[in-house]
Amino acid sequence: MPHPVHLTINAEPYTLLVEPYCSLLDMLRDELQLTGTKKGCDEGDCGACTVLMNGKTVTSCMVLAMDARDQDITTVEGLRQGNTLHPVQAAFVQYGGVQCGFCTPGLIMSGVGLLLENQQPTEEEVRFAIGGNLCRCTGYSKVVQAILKAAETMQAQTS
Amino acid sequence: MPDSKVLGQNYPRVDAADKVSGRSQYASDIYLPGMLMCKVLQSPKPHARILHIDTSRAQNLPGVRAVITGRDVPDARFGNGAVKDKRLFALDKVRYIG
Repeated sequence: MPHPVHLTINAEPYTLLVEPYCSLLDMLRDELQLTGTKKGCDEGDCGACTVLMNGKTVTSCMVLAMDARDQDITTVEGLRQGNTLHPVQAAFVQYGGVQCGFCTPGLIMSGVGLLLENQQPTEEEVRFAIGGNLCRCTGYSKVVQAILKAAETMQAQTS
Repeated sequence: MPDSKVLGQNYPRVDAADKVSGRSQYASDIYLPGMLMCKVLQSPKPHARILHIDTSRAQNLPGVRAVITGRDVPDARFGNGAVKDKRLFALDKVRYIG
């Protein structure tokens, strides 16, 4: 039996009816057609479904939609401001961190989540932060480079 | 080596901006009006004769538009390369789990 869920997604308020067993991932993709967040494994292992919930990364396939009630969700679609990419997005483009792109939204959300907490991460800290995101294509090095460069850009912007 | 507009230049992928924005459509991102979803039943047996497939319970589920078995498309074949006559659905016999 569907239950109402009220929450904020990419700074917009939403009220939706969802089944109690519906995951946040399925709600985003199927109910809202926010298909930027990907379903890779649907069991919390691959990280393709990573979103920010109240600024912290979560695997949305493992979050029940009803447990996201009143929470503040950011998906990859919420990063871009019109035609301006978020610095992490821009860095992935500039430094070659994207190949097939399927894992990319999840990696980007992990990168954004890290930089919200730690504006000057070391390479090791970046690698740890993306440790829950599997990528079959890139071998991660350009992804790590992109996130480190994005951190520099964002530091320069605030100073 | 002469200067080149292409060789030795750094070019971002033509589709990278869409991919990092979540705008790229992969197969499972496509939603069309009136779209049907299908579920495949795979053989649980590695080697067995198909005596009968009872589709009545599946057909009676609400919202089910069709249930298709090998009997419905007995002549449908596909394949490329060395094997050109794979069946769409198993008919009479299953030869592997899945």
